[in-house]
Formats: sequence, C-alpha cells, structure tokens
Amino acid sequence: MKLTKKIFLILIIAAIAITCSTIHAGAQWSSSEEYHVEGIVKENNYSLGYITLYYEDGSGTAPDSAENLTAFRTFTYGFNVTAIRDGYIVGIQNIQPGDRVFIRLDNDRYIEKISARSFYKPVYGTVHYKGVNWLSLKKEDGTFAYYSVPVGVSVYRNGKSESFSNISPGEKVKLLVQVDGTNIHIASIDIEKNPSFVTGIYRGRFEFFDTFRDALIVSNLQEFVNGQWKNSSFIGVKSIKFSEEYNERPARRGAGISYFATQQAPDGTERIVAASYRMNSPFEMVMKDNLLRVSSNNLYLQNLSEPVAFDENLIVVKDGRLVDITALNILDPVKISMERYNNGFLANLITCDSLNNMGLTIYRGRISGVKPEENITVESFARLNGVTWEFTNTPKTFDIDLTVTRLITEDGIGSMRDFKDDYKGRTVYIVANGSKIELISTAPYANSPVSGRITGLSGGSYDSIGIIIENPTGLELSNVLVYDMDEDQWSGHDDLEIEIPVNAIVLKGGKVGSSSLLKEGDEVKIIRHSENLDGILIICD
Amino acid sequence: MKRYSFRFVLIILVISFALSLPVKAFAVEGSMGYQGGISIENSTEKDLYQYSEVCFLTGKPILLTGDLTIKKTDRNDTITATYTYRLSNPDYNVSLSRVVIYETVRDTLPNGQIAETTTLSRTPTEVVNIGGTTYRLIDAHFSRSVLTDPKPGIKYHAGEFVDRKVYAVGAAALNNPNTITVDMSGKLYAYDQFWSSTQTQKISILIEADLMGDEGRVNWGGQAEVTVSNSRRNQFQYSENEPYQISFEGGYIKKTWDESTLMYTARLPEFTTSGKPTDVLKTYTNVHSLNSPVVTKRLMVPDLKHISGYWDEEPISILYGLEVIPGLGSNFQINRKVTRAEFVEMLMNAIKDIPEDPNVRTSLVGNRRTQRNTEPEVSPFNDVPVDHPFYESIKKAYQKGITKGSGNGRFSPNSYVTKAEAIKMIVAALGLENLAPYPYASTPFADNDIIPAYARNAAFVVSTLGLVGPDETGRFNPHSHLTYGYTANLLYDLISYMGDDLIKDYRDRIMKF
Repeated sequence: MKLTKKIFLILIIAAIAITCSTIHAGAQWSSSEEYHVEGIVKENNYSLGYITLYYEDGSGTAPDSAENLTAFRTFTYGFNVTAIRDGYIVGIQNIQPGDRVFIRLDNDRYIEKISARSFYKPVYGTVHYKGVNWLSLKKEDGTFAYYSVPVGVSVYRNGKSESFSNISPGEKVKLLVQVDGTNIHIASIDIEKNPSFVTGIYRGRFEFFDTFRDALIVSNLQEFVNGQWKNSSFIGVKSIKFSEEYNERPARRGAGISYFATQQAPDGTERIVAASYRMNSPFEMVMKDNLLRVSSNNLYLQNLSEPVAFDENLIVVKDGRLVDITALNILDPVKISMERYNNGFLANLITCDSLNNMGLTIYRGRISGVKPEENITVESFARLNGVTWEFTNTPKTFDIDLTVTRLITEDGIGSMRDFKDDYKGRTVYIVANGSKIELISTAPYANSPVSGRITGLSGGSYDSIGIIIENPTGLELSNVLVYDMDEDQWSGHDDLEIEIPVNAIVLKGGKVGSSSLLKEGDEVKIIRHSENLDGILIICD
Repeated sequence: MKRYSFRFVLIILVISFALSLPVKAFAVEGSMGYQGGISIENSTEKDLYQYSEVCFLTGKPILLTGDLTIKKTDRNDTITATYTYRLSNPDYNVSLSRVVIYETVRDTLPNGQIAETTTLSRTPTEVVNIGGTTYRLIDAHFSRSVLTDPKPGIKYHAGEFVDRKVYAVGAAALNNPNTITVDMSGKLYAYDQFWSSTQTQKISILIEADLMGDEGRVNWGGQAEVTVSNSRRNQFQYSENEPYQISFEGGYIKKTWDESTLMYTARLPEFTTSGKPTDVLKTYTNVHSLNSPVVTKRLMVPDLKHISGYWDEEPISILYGLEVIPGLGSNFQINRKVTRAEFVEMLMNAIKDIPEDPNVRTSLVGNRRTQRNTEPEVSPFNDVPVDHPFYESIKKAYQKGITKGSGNGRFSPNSYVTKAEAIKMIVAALGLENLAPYPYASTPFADNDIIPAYARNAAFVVSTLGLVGPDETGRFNPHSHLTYGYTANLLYDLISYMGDDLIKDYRDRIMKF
C-alpha cells in the first residue's frame, strides 16, 4: 500500500514537472507578457515562412532535439512582418541563423514583430582563388576557407564601394561573417587599405639562419628588377628578418642560393614573406615571355619550346602581390628566373605586371585659344604614335579639370589658375585622357628617340624616410638603341647620359608624373630634344 | 621624542623615495602623446622617449624626430602630465619645441569601469621653425575621454580625443594674421597586460591655411589620416647549448622589445615652384617605425628529462621557466589530472598582474599612516583554509571574479577541474564574455548540448578566439578532466594569444583595414 502511494506521488510529481518543462520550453499564451519569445536563430526558412530558435540555454544542436524544437521553438510568419536587424528595418528574410532575436507573437501565434542583433565576427586572410561569386581565403593561421559570396554583399576599398569582381588574388581582405552550424552569412568584405606590396625580390648566397634574430643571413645580394638580376647597392653580408606572417624557416646551417621576397611589416621594417632555397646551379637564366598554359607542375611559354617545371618553392609575384601560380592568366607577360634541372628548366621565381591600358595620349600643338579654367584649343596638333609624331592640320579642344590638370613650365610646377591668354601662340605638350588634360608642359620639341635600361639616376635627393626633395635631373642608360628617323630603324649605341629638364614628361604605370617615378632597372623609351639631346618625353614600358 | 623624530624622518624619506621612483612596468597608454606621433622609451634615462611625428604645416609631410619627456603626477585621481617635445628635421631645416600640460580626472563608475577626461591644464607653448619661417601656436583646445574596463587579466581602453591648434605664420600684423589651423580628431584603442601592451590611435587631421601672398590672400586645405601604434612585445626562443659538457640542456630565452609604427596617408595640394597651392591634390603615403633593442632574460631550465621528446615539451618547459607551473619539473606527469586549486594557481601565474603606468608618480599624501591589520584572514571559501598552498591565488581569482567557487561557499579545491570549468575561468580572466550572444550562445561543437549552460558562452568565445578547437570528432568534451599535459598547452596558447594575437587585433588590423 505504502509502495502504491509512493508510486502515485512520484507520478503526480513527474506529471507536474513535465507540464512545467513544457511551459518553460515553448512560448505560452496565457497572458500578454508571454507573447514574447527570444533566443538565437537556428533556421529562418523564408519560403515556408518560419523561424526556429535554439533553446534559451543555447542547446538544441543535437539531432534528437529537432522534433522538440519544431514543436516548441518554431514560429511562423506571414507577410508584412516588421523586422528590425541591428537597428535597421529589413525584410524578415534578412534575419540570419546565429542572430539573437526578440519576437512578439500575435493572438494566432504568428510572428507579429521581430528584432534581431547580429553576431558577425571578422575573418582575415589573403585571397587565394576567386570565382564569380565565391572566394577561397588563406586565413592568418594558414588554413584555407571557402566562402560563397552572394550578390549584393558590400565590398569596400579605402572606405569606398568596390565591385566584387575587382578583388584580385593576393589581396588581403577582412570578411564579416556570421557562422552558425553550416550557415555562413557574409555581411561585407573590406579590402586592405594601404596594400603592402612586395618591396623587393632578392637572391643571395645562403650564409645561415639566425635563430636569435629570426633573420636570414645572405651575402652577394642581388635584386630582381624588371626581369634582370642586378647587384644590390648593399655590399657584404646582409641580415633580413622573417615576417611573423610567414611561418617557414630554413635549417640553421645550409648552403646554396636563397631566393626571397620582402614586404614592409606593420612595424615599418622590410621582412621576408616568401623564401626558397636552391643548390648552386651552373646554369641560370632569366627571360621575358608570355604565359601560354599552366599544368600541375609545368608552365608553358609562348617563345620557349620546352616546358618549365616548378615546385612548391616557386615564388610568384603578380602586380606586386605574392600569389599562387594559378593567379596567372593566359598571355600574361611574365619575367622568369630559372635554372637547368634534369635536362629541363626549373623556375625559381616569376614576376608578372598586368598590362596597363594607360589611355593617355601625348599631343603637341600651338595654342590658339584659352578659356581659363575650362578648356584650351590648339590650331593644329601632332600626336605621338610609338616614337614618331603624326600631324593633323585641324584644331582640337581639350578640357581643363583643375583637380586633375597639371602645368609644368621651364620654371617648374605652375598653376592652371594662371593659365590664361598669355599662353596663346605657345606650343605645348598636352597629355590627355580622352579630351581631359592631365598635363601641359612647355618643354621644347623632341624628335630624337632612344630606348634602353636605366642604370643610374642623378641629381635627386630624398629625405630620411624616402620622400623626394629634389627630382632626379639626369639618367644613365645602357642597352641603348637609337632610332634613325630616316632609315626608320633602331640601331645599337653606347651607353648614354641624358639630362632631364624640369618640364620633362614622364609616363609610367599608367601615371603621368615627374622623374621621381623612374627607378634603376626601368626600361624606357625617351624622345630627346634634337639639339641639346635632353630627355623630354620619357615613357616607361 | 627622539624616537618619534627618527620615525618621522624615516617616513619622509620613504615617501620621498616612493615619489621619486616610478614603478617600472609595461603599460603604454599615453606614452605616445596625442599629437599623432610615436615613441620608444629610452632604456637609460627615466621619463625620456625617442619620438617622431609628421608635420603638415607646409602642405607637405615632414617627419620630425627627437625627444619627448613625459612627467606625470597623480594626486587624488587627478593626473597632471607634462609632455615636452624637442624635434627637428635637418633635411628641411626644421626645429620644433613644444610643451603641453594635460590634466586628467579619473572617475570610477558604478560598474568598476574608469572614465578619464583630459583637458589642457594651461595653453601649450609651441614654436616650429621651417626653413626660416616661424609657426607659433596662438590658440589651442584639447579634449580627451577614455573609458578603461579593468578585467582580471587585461585592462581594455577605448576613447576619443580632439585637438585644435592655430598657428601664426611669420611675423604678420595682428589685424591681418597669417594662420594655419590644424584640427585633429582621433580614436584610441589600447590594452594593458603583462604579456603585451598596445595602444593605437587613428587620427584624422584637417589642415587649413589662411595666408597673405604676393597676389592677395591664399587659402588652402588638406587632409591626413595618421595611424600610430605602440606595442610592447614578448617572445620565447629556444637556445641550444653548443658545449657537450654542460650541466643543463639548452634553455628558453624571453625576448622583450617595443615596436612603434606611424603610418599616414595625406592629401595635400600640389604647390607651384613659387609656393602657390594648385587645385591638384597629391597623395602622400608612408610608414615610419621606431623599435627598441631586444632585452633578453633566461628562463629557468626545468628538470624535464622524463618527458624529453614529448610533443608538448616546449610549452611545458616554457611554462616552468615562467613559473606558471609551480615546481622544478621533475614531478611533472603528463597524464596526471589537474585539481581545481592547481588550475587556479597556474592560471593566476599565467595572467600575472597588470602593470601600472611607468610615468606616474603617485602622491602618498594622506596615506602616511600605515594601518596595522589586526583582523584575522578569512577565506572566501569554507573548504580552502588560509594556509592552503594555493590560497593566495584562489583568493585573488575569487576577488577578481574569475571563479565563484563550486557553490554553497565551497571551492572544491581537490576536485579535478573539467574543461568546461577551465575555459569558463580563462574567459573570465580575459574579460571577453561579451563576445558571445546573451544569455547563451550556441557553440559550433558537435556536443554543444552537453556543454553546461554556465560554460556555453565561454566555449563559444574560446572557439571564436581560436584558443580551443574541436577534437577530431568535432566535440568539445566539456566534462573531461584536464591533464597536466593538456593544461600546459592550454595556458601556453593563452599566453601566446595575450602576447601575439591581441596585437594583431589592436595594431595590424586597424592599420590595414
């Protein structure tokens, strides 16, 4: 009898407990206060119009809890539901798994109002591959992650909107993602503000790895400049620290040649971000070519019959960024340093600079009219085509944009606000993008083309952090070719020293600038003044 | 009488000594000043810093370098700080002399956070000479407000400041002055803790010039974004012994150094050769850094012969060297379970005390009488006697809110600590509970539902921070007991996080994005 009583009591207690737990688990409708529910969103099915929440204590991920969640933590919604997410009114379909939500239910137990707070976290990494609507990211811990990027995700560069298609492999990005189970929602993508480009590509004799300084010690340092190995200005043994973002380290003692690329670290110092180590090769070569195809371990060039092998130690730099070899496209112009290996070639490093469609044209003409701060008209003009001038005997008007148009005269930089009628009748160079003037120069007529490689710059001065104080006023040119206008052909010539006047026009990498843009190793075409042989137009390939 | 005089003299001496000797420590907040510059502490001279900033007064960025002296006194929560700058740049024939005195009032808020408000104590003096032209400060306004959230292991700071300075250029007439106005507004983020400290300021600068030229008045303006950051860093490195006949194997070295980085992007008018501004804006971008020499300290070489070759030998050895794991190493057992008391002892050893501001001299006026504490020590837990070997750590952990015990006034010091309990304490020490949704997060672990509710948010946070990942089956295993081997790894990862990962978030990422 006693036992029966006990069992009866237990059953009553159990029944009360079950009732209480049901009340706790689900939203109840006994009073207006209980029409509110809150929790973390497990699923928002917009097609079927329901939202499922985890339990209040965060549980509900186990497969066996699905049924109970459907019964007690799933709430349906119809049309015209007010939804607020992070303080903004949004469509209810924008409520994402992982959001914390507050829900008000109506008398029919439908969602009447919902407000949510997101829990995005930043994910940082370097774009490894990129497709039309996805990207593969190499995260800071070295692991790879794939992200599907739906249309409409905000992409920013320097705080301004950018198209997803303009993200390039090798760029560092910050993704704001909210992850919940298998659901990944990307809120935005920020591209690195001041990209840290590769500052130098070097090779040197491997001396040792300095474990204390975490630095590579090399001698006979050479820099890969514009497809050629050039002796560094640094003589002797050099210590270069490894970047903290790059985890590979060589054995302390070794031999052979080390190839490495450097970037500026957050502390401002130049650090190694990629390195490979090779034994001394009796035969090394560099070449410029166009890429035809890349297979799993070979690449094929347009003008080389043999394939060039590569391995995981290959360093690839495209447009100043370290990239995977798959980031190279067909017919990309590449500069390769390679060595003979097993009767074939083995690539050590590849650089590639995408072709710049500068869109700039150089004209020369006599000014017939000036509308200050608006436009200028030349009575006839010559247009530079290659290294020769094509004359057109018709007037042409060019637009002035004060924020873009620059003036350089024989006295130096001038102001376009002072460009008035007193310039009428003068013959000037006009560098224009379409009809918009980028630069007007009063430099004299030039018609003596030469080409070559810059081996030295003179006259320039820089301050302690590398800001230009005085532009270079001269350059030394080697591998010189001189263009004979009469014969219409290029012929070899001794090295040249060329003066650069203050109003010379320099075009490099799609930019118009001063001689400070020029660097040793640059390959240039120069149109010189026919008499004093000053370099008037300097165009960098 | 004589005895009292002697005591009095002794007290005065002690106070004088205390006043003159700043606490040597690591905190960096405020060490760069608020002028958009960076600094590195001089290792030999007290209060002196090597300093750099960029000057935009001429419309072209000019890097100025030199000395900064910071002197601070703290009287009743009001800090008076004097910043004295002596800078130059011989490339442009520039010299700068500046003295700024700030007054900071501290207010402790009901939740324990500290609000600091800083204003100028008096009008600063500043004279800049650039190539023979003098720029003299004639008006200035400064306001800074910072909120400090002191958590057990880390002090977090965030705040804003505005600074407006008007310079008179040359010897212009009073009724028609040539002026340049520099408006700065900055955000600052910083943290202070034992393993690293970082302060980063993101400053937006607007420059406006109103000058008399040959052809009338000339007005020009420019804008710059300057990000400056100071960090103190620690790293560990193994050093192998070369001699064979030596009593100990190679050991670990703790390396400490300071890094300071200044990055700017400025958009300023291009000037004609004669000095007139044009409408074309030039963009200047540059990075400058100051780094201190590395200071090294050898760590104790523990006796770990019995685990030589074990995959976690390195973190275990370093933790012994840092005295995080108490003892000499010979009794270390990889698979021995860790009790709650032992874990708290190691955790408190790992997070260490937060260093104080090295420049502050605290006035002891009002605290001269030493109160003799005659009340007996009372343990916060009824099962942890005051003579328990780890009593101090347990008490400190309780006082700092890292643990509340196991319930009913007990701590259960001899119970084995579970993973859930351990990560709950770690996240409380970091003060990062707020990274998880309130009240309970759903974690990415396959066994999310069996994680105790009290530890679910902590599990979410350690997973987000990368401190603890899932096992090979995707589980967290909240009820598993921690072994010494696992604990050593966990605490080593915690120290690495505090030493390296936080810097990335407070410096590298702010600078890059």
